[in-house]
Amino acid sequence: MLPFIARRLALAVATVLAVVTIAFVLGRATGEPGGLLLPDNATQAEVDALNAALGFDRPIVVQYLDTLVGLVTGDFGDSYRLRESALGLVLERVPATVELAFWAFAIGLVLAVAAALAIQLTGSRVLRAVAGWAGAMRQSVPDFFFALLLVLVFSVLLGALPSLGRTSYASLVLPVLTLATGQFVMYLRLLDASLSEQAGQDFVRTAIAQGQRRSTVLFTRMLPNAALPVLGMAGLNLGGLLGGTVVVEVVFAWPGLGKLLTDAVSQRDFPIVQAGLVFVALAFVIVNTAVDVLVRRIDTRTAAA
Amino acid sequence: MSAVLRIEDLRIETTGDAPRALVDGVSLHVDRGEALGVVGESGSGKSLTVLAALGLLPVGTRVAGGRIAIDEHVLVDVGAGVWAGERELRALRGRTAAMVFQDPMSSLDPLRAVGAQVASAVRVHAPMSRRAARERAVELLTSVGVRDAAERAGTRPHQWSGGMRQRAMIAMAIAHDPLLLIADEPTTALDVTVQAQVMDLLAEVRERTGSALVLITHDLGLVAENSDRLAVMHHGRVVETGATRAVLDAPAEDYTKRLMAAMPAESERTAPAVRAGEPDALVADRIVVEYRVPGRKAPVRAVDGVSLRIAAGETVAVVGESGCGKSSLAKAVLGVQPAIEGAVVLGGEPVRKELAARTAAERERAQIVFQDPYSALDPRLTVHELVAEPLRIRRAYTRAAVTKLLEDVGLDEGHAKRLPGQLSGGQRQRVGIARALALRPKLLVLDEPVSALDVSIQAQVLELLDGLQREHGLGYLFISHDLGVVRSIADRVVVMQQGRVVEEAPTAQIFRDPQHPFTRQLLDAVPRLDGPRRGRRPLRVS
Amino acid sequence: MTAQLAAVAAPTPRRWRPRPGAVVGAVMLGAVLLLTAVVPLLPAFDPMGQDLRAALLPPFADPAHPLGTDALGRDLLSRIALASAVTLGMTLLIVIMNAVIGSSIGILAGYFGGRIEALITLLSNVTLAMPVVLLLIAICAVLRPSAGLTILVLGCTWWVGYARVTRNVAASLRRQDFVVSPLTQGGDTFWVLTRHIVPNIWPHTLIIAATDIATIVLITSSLEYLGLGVQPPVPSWGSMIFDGQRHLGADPWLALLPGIVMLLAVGGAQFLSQQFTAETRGGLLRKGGMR
Repeated sequence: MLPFIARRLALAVATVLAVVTIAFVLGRATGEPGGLLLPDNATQAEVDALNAALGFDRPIVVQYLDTLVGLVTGDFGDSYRLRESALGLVLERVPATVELAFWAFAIGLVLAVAAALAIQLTGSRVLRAVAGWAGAMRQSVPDFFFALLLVLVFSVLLGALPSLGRTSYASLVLPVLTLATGQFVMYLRLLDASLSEQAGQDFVRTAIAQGQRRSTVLFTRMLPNAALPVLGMAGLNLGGLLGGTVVVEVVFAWPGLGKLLTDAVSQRDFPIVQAGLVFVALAFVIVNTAVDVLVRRIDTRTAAA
Repeated sequence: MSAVLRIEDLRIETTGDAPRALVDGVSLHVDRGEALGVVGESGSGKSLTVLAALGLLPVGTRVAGGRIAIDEHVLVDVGAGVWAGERELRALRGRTAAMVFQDPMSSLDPLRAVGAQVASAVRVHAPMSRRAARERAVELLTSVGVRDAAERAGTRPHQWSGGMRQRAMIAMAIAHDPLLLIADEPTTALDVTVQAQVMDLLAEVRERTGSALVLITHDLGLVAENSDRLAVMHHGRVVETGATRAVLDAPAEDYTKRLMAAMPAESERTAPAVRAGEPDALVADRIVVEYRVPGRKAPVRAVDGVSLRIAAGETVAVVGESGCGKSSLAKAVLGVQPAIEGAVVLGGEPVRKELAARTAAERERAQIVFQDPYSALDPRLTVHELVAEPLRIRRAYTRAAVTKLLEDVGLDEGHAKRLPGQLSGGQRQRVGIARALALRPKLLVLDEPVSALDVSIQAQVLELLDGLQREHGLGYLFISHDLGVVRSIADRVVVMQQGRVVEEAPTAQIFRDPQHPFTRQLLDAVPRLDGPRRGRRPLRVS
Repeated sequence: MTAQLAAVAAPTPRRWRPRPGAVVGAVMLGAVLLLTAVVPLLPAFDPMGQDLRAALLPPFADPAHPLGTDALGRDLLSRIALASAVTLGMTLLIVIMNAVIGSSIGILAGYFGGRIEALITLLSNVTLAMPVVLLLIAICAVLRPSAGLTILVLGCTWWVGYARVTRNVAASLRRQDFVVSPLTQGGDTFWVLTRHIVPNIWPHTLIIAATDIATIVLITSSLEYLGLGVQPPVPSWGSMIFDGQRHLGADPWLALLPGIVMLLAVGGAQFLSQQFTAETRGGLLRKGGMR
C-alpha cells in the first residue's frame, strides 16, 4: 500500500510539473509580453523597460526556475491588467465554480444511481430504452447548446428563471441543470453497463442460489462491485466536468474560474492563466490521487496481484 | 420412498424467434440420501437440467416443457400451467436444495470477506443476529476443514487457495442441512489431489447431513467413485441410466461404451516407437528458470536444475500439479522463457537459450502444440492460412504441402477454408498439430494437448499423435497433470514437484511401484472406473 | 457453464441484423451528409455574401433564402452547409490522427512492455490527470486561434483512449499462443506485428474512433463557441450558435438551426457507433420465478 501511494504521489507531482511547464511555455510562446501589453505606438525603450520590470530580460532557464519557486511559494506574480496577485484573483473566483461543479456532480450522480437501480430492480426494458435514447440525445448536443435551449424555454419563453449572472439561488438553476444532465447521462450509462456486467457474475448466481432476495443481492453484491470501476472513472470525469464548467460559465456570464480564465486568455494576462491552470491541475490531481488510493484500499485484489 | 428431486420429460429451449432445444425429454429422480451422477460431455445439457431445477437458467434459455418437483413440491408443470414464483423458489434455494459451483473463485464475491459471505448464507433462512451468524459461519468453516477459521473468516476470497474456496462454497451449501446438494463440476478447476480432498469432504458432510447429491461431471471416474446411480447425457437427452456399478460393468448404450472406451486405458503403451541410432530429440541439462514477480524482490525459481533426455520416437511425460514448473520447463526448452542456467541440445545440436538468439533452423527443431486450442489459433485466419504460416515464414509455401499436412492430421479441403471459430475443439487441436509439424521438427512439446477436450475426442487426438510419432520418429515432451492420459501414451514419466524432479521411471514402473510419496499421492487421487476409492462408499439412507 | 453455452452457440454465426438505433442513426447522419454534399451544388449557394437589406429573414419567408438569413444578411442554408463540411472534415482529420498515433503508441507499449510501456503509461497517466479541455482552451487561445491549430492540437492530444485500449489488447495478444507460435517457427517481431497484432487490433481502434467522432465534434464546437478554431468569415456550428445567441429572443432560429444540424450529425454518429459497442445486457437478475 505505501509504495503504491508513493508511486501515485510521484505521478501527481509529475503531472503538476507538466502543467506548469505547458503554462510557462504558453506564456512565452507568443513573444515577450511587454510588446503585447503596451499600446501599439509604444517605443522599443518603453517595451524593454516593462520587460525588465517584469523580469522577462533574464535567461529563460532562470525565468522557468523562478516559476517553479513561485509554484511552491504560491506566488504566480501579479495580473498584468489588474496589478493584483494572480493567485488571489483565482482563489476569489473558486467558490462560484465549486458551487456549480458540486451541485452538478451531486445531483447527476445521485439521480444516476437511483435510475440505474430502478432499471435493475424492475428489469424494465422500456425504462432502459427510454434512458438510453434520452441519454444519447443529451450527449449529442454540447453543453453550450443545451444551455441555450434551457434559456430559450425557461428565460425567453416562460420568463421564469434568470439567464445571466450569479445573483440568487434562481440563477443557479439553469447552469446546474445544464451540467447535471450531462453528468446524469454519463453516470447512468457507466453504472448500467457495470451493473449489467455484474448481473452475469457467478457470485451473483451463488447468492441467488442461496435464496437471497434479488434486491438484497443488488444492493449488497452487485452495487459495491459495480461502483468500484465507476468510482475510478469519477475522478477522471472531473476533467470533463471542469471543461464543461468553463463553457457554461461563459454562456451564463457566471463569475467563476472558467470565466476568469477565458477572459484572461483573450487579454493575454498570463499570470492569471498560469495560476488558474496550475490551481485546477492541482485540485484535479489531488482528487484523482485520493480516488485511486481509495479504490486500491477497497479492492485489495490488485494489491495482492 | 419419496424423491428429493423429480424431473419429468424436461425440455429447455433457447428463447428468441427460432428456439432450439438444449435439453429434450429428460427425466431424472433423486431419492433421499442418494447420490446421482450426471455424466456428459460439454453441451450435453447436464448443467442446464439441474440449473432449471432451481430456476437458475441463464438468460436466453427457458423451460419449454415437462415437470420439476423438489421434495414433492411442484415447481414447474408446463402441461398443468404451474409456474412457481420467485418467493416459492427463494424458500427452497439454499434450504431444501443447495448448490456448489465449478469455479470457486468467481462464485465468491471478491469484495466481501469469506466469513461474511457464509454468514449471509446462514441468515437467509435462519434469522439471527449478525454476531450469531458470524459464529455459526466460523463453525461451518471449521466443519469443512478450514483451519484457523475464526481468523481466516475475515479475509477475502483472493487470499484463499482454490481448494479452500471450494470448502467455503460447501460450507455455505450445507448451512441449512439441505435435503439435496447439487454439485456442478465441483472439482474441475482444482488440482487432482485437491479434487480428491473435496470429494472426500462432500461424502463426509453428506454423512452428517444425510443430503442427497447430484454430481454433474464430465469425468466417469469421479462418478464411479462417488455415486449410487448414474445418468449419461448426450445432446440434451438421457441416453442411459441405472445403478452406477451395473451401468459401468455392462453398459447397454453405444454412447456409454464409447465414453468408457475413451477413458485412458489402465494399461501402458505396448509398442514403443523409439528409434535407435538417431540423435536424441532433446537433451536438457540442469535447467534453471526464474521469474520476476512484480512487488517481490527475489525472483521465483520455477525450475530448479532439471535434466531431461528424450530419444527420437520416445514420449516422455512430465507430470505434476499446477505451479510445479512443468510448463516453465517446456518454455525453457523452446526458449520462450529462457533458462538462466543449463544447456539445451535439440536433435543432437546445442542451441542457444533465448528464442530471440536462435536461428530459424535452430527454432524449427522444437515445435509446440498448445493446451488451449482457442488461444493457439489466430481467429481471423483460415485453417489453410494457419498451417501455411510457418511455411510462409521460411518461404517454403506450396499449396500441396499444406494440403498434405492437413491430410496427415485427418482434415480435408472442406476444413481448410474454415475459420477456427467454425471448428470443434478436437479439430482445432488437429490444426495446431499440423502447424507444428510443418517445419519437420525433431521434438514436439505437447503442453496439456488434450486437457481442454472431451474424453471421446481426447482418445482420437492421442491416437493421431501416436501415429505421427511412428511415422516421423518424433520425440514428444508431454506435459500433463492427468496421470490417466499419460499412462496410455508415455514411455517414461518424470514427476515434478516445486521445480524439481522427485521421481523418474518407465511408465509401467511408475504406475506399479511408485517410489516417492508425492507420486503415490498423485496416483491415489486419480478417479478410477473400478469403484469407490479407499473403501469409502457414499452413504445411503433409506 | 458459460463455456458450455458458448459451445452450443458457436457453430451458427450470428446474422448481422441492424438495431433500430443504427437505422435512425444512419438516417440522421445521412441527412447531414446529404446537406453538405448537395447545397454547395445549388446555384444560390453563397455562404459569405452579405446583404444588409435582407438581414434577419425568418426561414421559409424568401425563396432565395430557404432557411432565412443572419444579422448580416448571409444565407443561412449555405452557411450551415459550409459549417457542416468544415466541422465534419476537421473532425475526421482529428479522429484519424488520434487513432493512428494512439494505436501505434498502444501497440508498441503493449507488445514490447518494459521501459517503453512504463514511459508511455506515465505519459498517458499524466495526460489523463490533466484537465485537457482547459489546457486546449489555453493553447488554442494563446497561439492565434485557427482551424489548423485546432486540428494540430486536438489531433495530437486526444489519443490516450486509443493507446490505453490498444495497449491492453496488444498485451493480451502477446500472451496468446498464436503470437508465440510464429516466433518458435522462425518468424520475427515484424512478422508477428504485421500478421497478427495489427490485424487483430484495428477493429478495436475502429470502435473507439466511431464513438470518438461525437466527442471530437462536441469539443471543437465548444472551442468554436469560445471563438477558438475556425475564424470568421468561415462559419462553424459553434460560432454560428454564438452569433445567434444574441438574437435568441426575437430570432431564435439563428442559434437553433445550426444546433439542430449538429444534433443530427452527432446523434447519428452516436447511434451508429452503438451498433458496434452493443453490450449484451441482462444477466441473471431478471424478474420473476420459473417462467
